[in-house]
Amino acid sequence: MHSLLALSPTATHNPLDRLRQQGVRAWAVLGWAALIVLLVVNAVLDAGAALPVLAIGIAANAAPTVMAIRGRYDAEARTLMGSIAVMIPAMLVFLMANQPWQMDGHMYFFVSMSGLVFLADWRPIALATLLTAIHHIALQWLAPQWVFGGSGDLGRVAFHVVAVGFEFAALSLLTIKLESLFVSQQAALRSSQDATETAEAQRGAAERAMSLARTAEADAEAERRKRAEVTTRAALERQGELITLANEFEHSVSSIVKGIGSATRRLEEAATNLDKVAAGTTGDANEVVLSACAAAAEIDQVASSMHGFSQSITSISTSAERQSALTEKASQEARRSVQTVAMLEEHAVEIEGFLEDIKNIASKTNLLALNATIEAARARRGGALPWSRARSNRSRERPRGPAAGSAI
Amino acid sequence: MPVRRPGTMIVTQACGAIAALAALTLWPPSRGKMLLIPVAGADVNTVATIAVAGGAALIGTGPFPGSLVVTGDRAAIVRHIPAWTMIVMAPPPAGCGTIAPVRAA
Repeated sequence: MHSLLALSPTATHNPLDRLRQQGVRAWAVLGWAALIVLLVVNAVLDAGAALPVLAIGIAANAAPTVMAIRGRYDAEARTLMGSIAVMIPAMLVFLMANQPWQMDGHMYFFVSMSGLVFLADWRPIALATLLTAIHHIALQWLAPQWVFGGSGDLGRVAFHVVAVGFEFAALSLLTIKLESLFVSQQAALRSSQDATETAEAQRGAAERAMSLARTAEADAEAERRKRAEVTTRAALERQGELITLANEFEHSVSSIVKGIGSATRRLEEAATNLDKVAAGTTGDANEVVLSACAAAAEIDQVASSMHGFSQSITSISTSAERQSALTEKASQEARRSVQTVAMLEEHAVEIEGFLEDIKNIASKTNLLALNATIEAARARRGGALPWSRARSNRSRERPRGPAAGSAI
Repeated sequence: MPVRRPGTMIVTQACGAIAALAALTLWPPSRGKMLLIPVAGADVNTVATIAVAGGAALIGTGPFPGSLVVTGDRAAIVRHIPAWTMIVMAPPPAGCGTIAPVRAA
């Protein structure tokens, strides 16, 4: 019985189908239960009709039971239940034949017809009504003595049929209203489910949108943080690069200045040496030495100017905002310094040439002085070269002194 | 409220139900009054002889020619009926009516 009353998965979504399927299965089970009860009644009343009751009961329950087992609850299956609703009370009335309560047994026709309401269909009620009416009318027509003994007539049968008809009308109206109610309820339920699904979908969309917004916000925050880090790192790197560039530039300029200072010192030393070499020469040589000293002084002046330039470059490196302009200026000054150093180197080379000339002149002068001494000695002994000639030879060498000074 | 022609299964079930109810109406009781209808050439005397042999008491004539209404035990009466010579039915009234005296034949 439990398996028969169990719901199939296909009918669980529609309350009306669920009710009808349960009704079909309940009537199938009720048919067999009623058959057992009828056999008991037959035995109790000693009606002697077990065979026909059993045969008719099995035949009447066969088709509805097959429908229930197959899970059918369509209109045909439901209508078949109307036959059981007639057969059960009819067999009960038959078994109560010659019993004082036989007429009271007819009330079970109305009970069983009322039970068909659970199928929520007017068709089984109509079949039960037709079977009841046809059964009585046919017997009244074919064998009136067997239906209502003594007082049996068509009017009494019609009176019963009208009563059954009224019940059919009431129950049919009730089932139609019930079906309509279920349909409207199902529609309302479907509408509610649709609304719920729509709301769920919208809620899901909103949640996805919020999730996307949160993700976008997190991404934006991460991007802002990353950008700030990059900016800070770039500023630090730029500042470091500027400091490094300034340090390198300062170092290079210092190196250049040191090189220039060293060259200057070497020039000073060379000039000093030249001065020392020329110290022993004659007055012309002293003039040349003086000129060399003047040249050395000029070189010192250039060196001091270069040192001032280096100081200005150093001050440029301390100012970060004016770095680029000063860098350009410093590079220009550096180029000029290089040019100046190159020019100084050229001049130094020329000075070296002059010093060579001065050395030659000094040697020649010494030689002339020696010759003059010799000539003077000779002259004092009766002389060959007059003093004026020696003098004129020395005077030919004198213009070298101013030339060297102008060159320096 | 759609109305369609009933299917074959419904028509068969309905006709079977009507026939079964009719058969039940005419089914004889195990004990008491019943109607004996002769067939295959038997006459009222044969019917009476068989009923008496089965221990039944004759009450009167039935609605059919040669039939008799008797009272007794159905099983005892049926044991004396030759095959296919007599039909045993419930006497009128046997369906929905109340008990009424049967007119004497």
